[in-house]
Amino acid sequence: MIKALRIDHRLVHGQVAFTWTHFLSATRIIVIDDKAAGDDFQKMALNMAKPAGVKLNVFSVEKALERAEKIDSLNDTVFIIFGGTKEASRYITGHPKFKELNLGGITKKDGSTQYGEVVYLTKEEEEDLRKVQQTGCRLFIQQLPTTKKEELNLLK
Amino acid sequence: MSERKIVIATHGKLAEGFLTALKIIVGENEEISAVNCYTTPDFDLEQTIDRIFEEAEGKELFVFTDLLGGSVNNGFFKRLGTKQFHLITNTSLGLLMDCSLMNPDADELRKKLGSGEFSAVYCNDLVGSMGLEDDDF
Repeated sequence: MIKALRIDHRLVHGQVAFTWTHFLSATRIIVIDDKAAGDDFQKMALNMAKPAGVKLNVFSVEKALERAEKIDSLNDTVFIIFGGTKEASRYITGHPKFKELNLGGITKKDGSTQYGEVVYLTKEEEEDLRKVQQTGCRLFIQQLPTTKKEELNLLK
Repeated sequence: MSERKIVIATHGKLAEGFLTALKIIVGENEEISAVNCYTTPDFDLEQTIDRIFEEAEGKELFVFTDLLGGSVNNGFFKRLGTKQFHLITNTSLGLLMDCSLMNPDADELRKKLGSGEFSAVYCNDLVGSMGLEDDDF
């Protein structure tokens, strides 16, 4: 069962590995990120970051989409992390069955607009997320389980 | 179970530093407070420790210090004969995060500390030792 989806440019780090995973009672983290999937050292670092007893996969978007049905039917409580809006948009529009997407950390770039404390979107990223929203998936900004959950509507 | 109180007590501002790091990673936790020691020339450890015990009256107190053999830990250690509390030293951020999130009792804490999970790690030796098998389903 997929419990939650989040975009976080830091992928599996303290907040995700411990706080969210604990809050969601996740038993498997699936990172969907093309760059990380092709980088063994990054993969090792992610493996090191995950809490003991939690399973981890690092997939490219393509590989994740091939396994999308399997991922949906896993017995684990699954927490999916995307590295950025592009990955999230490709996965969710390719497999449009999700209710909500958490925007965790999206890094500041030239010309980006700030939407949350650590959420900055360029025009292109806004477009990625609009496509996500068009599948019926709501967007919300929330850094930690204990911080405020703010809805983001890009279709207005 | 009685209410829990966690105090991080260290030399300098490390305690406060641990608390700010915890705030970033796990969020606010009112059970946890930081006591920076020896940040002023007139700092009095015994008085500080007395005050911590007064404030924790009626609660289950966990004290985390920075250094085995350091004066902060020594100061608390002396009280183990007269006060009911848990004293843990050589504290790491991971250990504090675990205590904040998992709420372990003393026995669970003892087990976690024995497992080596929270000790320092020479990462270079981990390279190549981890399975990167992606397809387990």
